[in-house]
Amino acid sequence: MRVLAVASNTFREAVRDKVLYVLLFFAGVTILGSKALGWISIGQDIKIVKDISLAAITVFGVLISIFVGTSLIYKEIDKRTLYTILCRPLHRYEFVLGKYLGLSFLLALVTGVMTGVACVYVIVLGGTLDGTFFEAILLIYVELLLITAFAVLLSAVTSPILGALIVFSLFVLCNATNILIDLPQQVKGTGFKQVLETIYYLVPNLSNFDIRAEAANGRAVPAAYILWTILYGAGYTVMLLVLASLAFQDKDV
Amino acid sequence: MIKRWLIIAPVAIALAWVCSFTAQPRIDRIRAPQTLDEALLYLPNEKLLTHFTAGMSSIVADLLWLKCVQYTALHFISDRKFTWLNHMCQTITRLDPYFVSVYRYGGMFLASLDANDDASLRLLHAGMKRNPRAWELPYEAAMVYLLNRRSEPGAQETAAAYLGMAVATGNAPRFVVEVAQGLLNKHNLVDIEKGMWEAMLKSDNELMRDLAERKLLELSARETCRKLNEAVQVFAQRYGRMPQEINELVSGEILVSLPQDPLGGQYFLDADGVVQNTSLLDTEIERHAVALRRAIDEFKAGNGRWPQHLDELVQRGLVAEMPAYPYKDRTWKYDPLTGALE
Amino acid sequence: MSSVKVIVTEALTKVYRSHLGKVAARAVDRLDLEIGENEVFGFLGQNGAGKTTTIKMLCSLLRPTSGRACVCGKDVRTREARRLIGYLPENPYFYEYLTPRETLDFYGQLAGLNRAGRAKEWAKLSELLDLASIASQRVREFSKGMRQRLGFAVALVGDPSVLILDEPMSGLDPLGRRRIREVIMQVHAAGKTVFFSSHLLGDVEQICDRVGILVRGKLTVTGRLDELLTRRIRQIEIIAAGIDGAHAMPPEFRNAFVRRSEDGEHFLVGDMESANRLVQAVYAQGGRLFSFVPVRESLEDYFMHQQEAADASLGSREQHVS
Repeated sequence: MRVLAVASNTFREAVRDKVLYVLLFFAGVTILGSKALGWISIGQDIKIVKDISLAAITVFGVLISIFVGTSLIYKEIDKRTLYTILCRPLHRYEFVLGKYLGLSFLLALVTGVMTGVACVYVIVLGGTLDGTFFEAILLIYVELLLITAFAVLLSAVTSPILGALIVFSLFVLCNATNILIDLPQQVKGTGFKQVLETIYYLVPNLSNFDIRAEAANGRAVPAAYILWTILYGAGYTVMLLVLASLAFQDKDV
Repeated sequence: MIKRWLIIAPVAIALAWVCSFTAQPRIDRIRAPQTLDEALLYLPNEKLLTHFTAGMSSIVADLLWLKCVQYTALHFISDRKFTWLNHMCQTITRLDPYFVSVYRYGGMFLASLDANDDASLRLLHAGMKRNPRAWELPYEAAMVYLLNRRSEPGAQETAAAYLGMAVATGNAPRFVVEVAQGLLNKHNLVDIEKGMWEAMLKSDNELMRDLAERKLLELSARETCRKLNEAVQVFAQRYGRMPQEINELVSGEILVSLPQDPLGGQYFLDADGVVQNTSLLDTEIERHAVALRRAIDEFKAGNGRWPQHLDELVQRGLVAEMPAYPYKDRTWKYDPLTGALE
Repeated sequence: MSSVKVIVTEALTKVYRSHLGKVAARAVDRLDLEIGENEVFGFLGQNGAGKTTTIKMLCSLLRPTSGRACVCGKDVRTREARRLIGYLPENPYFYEYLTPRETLDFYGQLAGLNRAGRAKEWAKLSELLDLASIASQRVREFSKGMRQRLGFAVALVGDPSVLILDEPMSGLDPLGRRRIREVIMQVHAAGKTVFFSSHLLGDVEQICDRVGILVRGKLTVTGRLDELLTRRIRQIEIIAAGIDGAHAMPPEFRNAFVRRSEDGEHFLVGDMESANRLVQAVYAQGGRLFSFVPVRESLEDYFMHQQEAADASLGSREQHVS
């Protein structure tokens, strides 16, 4: 119950953040403007709309998750709203979890709104929506939850700007981890290859969550894939939240 | 307090890695066919591009395709040299392997504008491997053979085989089915045609499944006709003359009995002594009739009156040539006053 | 006052280290403190003496470098201890977009109260701190005084038995300060223990039972106000009227003369003995007493004295070192 109190407060405060609405506005513009690109290509204007919608949901979702997430705990410390809360009989990890949940609700809402706009737009343009489209959005949301957990961890230990930079850099790098598997095929020597492969398994592979190409082209994705990927994301998310709670446990405020 | 760190943190991290080690290989296995096979064919820098577009590869593919289209249009107008077309198409399809339009139109441009049918076919093959349900790609491959390579021996047969593959995807539109059938029939590529229809039996589309069933029956009827023709030859050898009518094959002890027509028609001998099947002929009549009907209506729309006789359709170029009436002893009946056709 | 110790610290220390690990500052140095039940304890010190650091350690916002602190026998780092504490920070901040009612509702949820409990709490606290008039305004629009009242209410949510207040009256106008003082007295009457820090010595004198003085992280003295101050009657001011000027007085008192005013001659003597002799001398002269006022050492004087002593000892220590 305490966790939910913190979560609901976090949600209400984040919803007031003007940055949120600016980002949503630009997401909307991007999605609606995608038709323009469709006019100057051959044979795939609906595909472009779907592509851009999914990309907009991803990019703006990541931006919100990074910018709001990294400042989440830091803002509380800076503005000292934290003092009267942490002296209450709640565990410190309950506070971290509450913040995280609040932000997760916000992201769900934001994702839902952008999805709604995209769906309506696709239907209006005469395209069809299949299951893969929504599965892609589901996986994007799971990815956002993972990134947010990492942002919350960083917000407990460092300043928002540094935190944002770190999360963003790791976001780009972790999308490229497949390189650890592909490149070694051109490199001789199995020892080095083994090391790279091990690193591949240890570092989160964000490209698992990327079924946007399949969704835009209307290809079906097996349910097993979705489930395994969700398990994968859940594992790392839980780890990051545990680390965030530990980091915050003894922090001086 | 410090003790807690040492216990909980490693447990949490270990848990995450357990999930990773169980899930990741399975994920990779499901995804594997797409990413790992052609690693050695492409230059390393192209592969790097895929990795570092951070999940935006599909969008980047879209934008590159736009550039590619513009590039093609530009050079079509100016110097007709499309040096980078192939490279661009390869990069785009690497970024988005399911981008059917790029394989299709890229292949088309490469073959028709750049006269590079090898590159075109390579591109189309790559596309067919990754998108087995896309009918457009074998269709375009067939077109390459029919247009670019028409003077090559066996080109038509290869094209027919490709068209068969196109139909076998189960998604091909009607006209492709007809062209495929026509070509396969013409070159007597019965096995390919049979395979094509059998694949169609698994289609999601009920119409397609019914069509495939019927076509398989027609195939077997054709096969029976061929066997009956062989029987006629045996008869001719034994008795030194052609049989007058088909029942003579039974009475002449060449056959035990006349085979049944699963389509409900009849086998008979035509004036030239060739075995025919009424159902097959009726189907052909229908097919030609539809085409003629369309041409006649087009004529009426264009000229405001019904054509005087069917040759006018040929004269006006609405029909390439008048199809022969399938029953050799009859011809098309046409009434110029009402535009009715039989 | 009972002998139950509500707040106990043992060698509580907070040391801030620089990045290289060197000691940068000893904010709180081996603090030993005992606060009894239902006491009002004033925690005094200059700015930067370590008051806020001590308080934050008591509320488990900071981790002590060494030593420990307990509230009602429970270590402050546990949840049970936090249940017993109500904390009002200096310059409290709350979520700007909430109303007081929503704020108290939130803190009620954190304290584990159900809906009925929270409603009761609101009724009780809004009356105690006069929040009804501002109940529907958003915190964003509040003045300092209103925030302080809200902060006090927040500290009281969940009916804690110990109140820890950090400079509760700083920045308030006289009316605000009086309001807070009254609330503290009311709460004290209800049986709660109040521990607060301040540098407004006048207010402290009015309401505290005991005080403690913190100088550079060290607790130099604690004790009851009346005990600490009675020992020092600094001076006695005597105004004598009707005498013929200071030169008319016996020579021993000539140095005691301060000035002449329309009330009479002002004398300052250092102890009761001399004061009595002076009065007799005035009467002997035929004068009369206009006023006789023992000037007790004020808390401010005492405080300054402590500070100077600490500075002196630090100076000598530094000299010793160098």
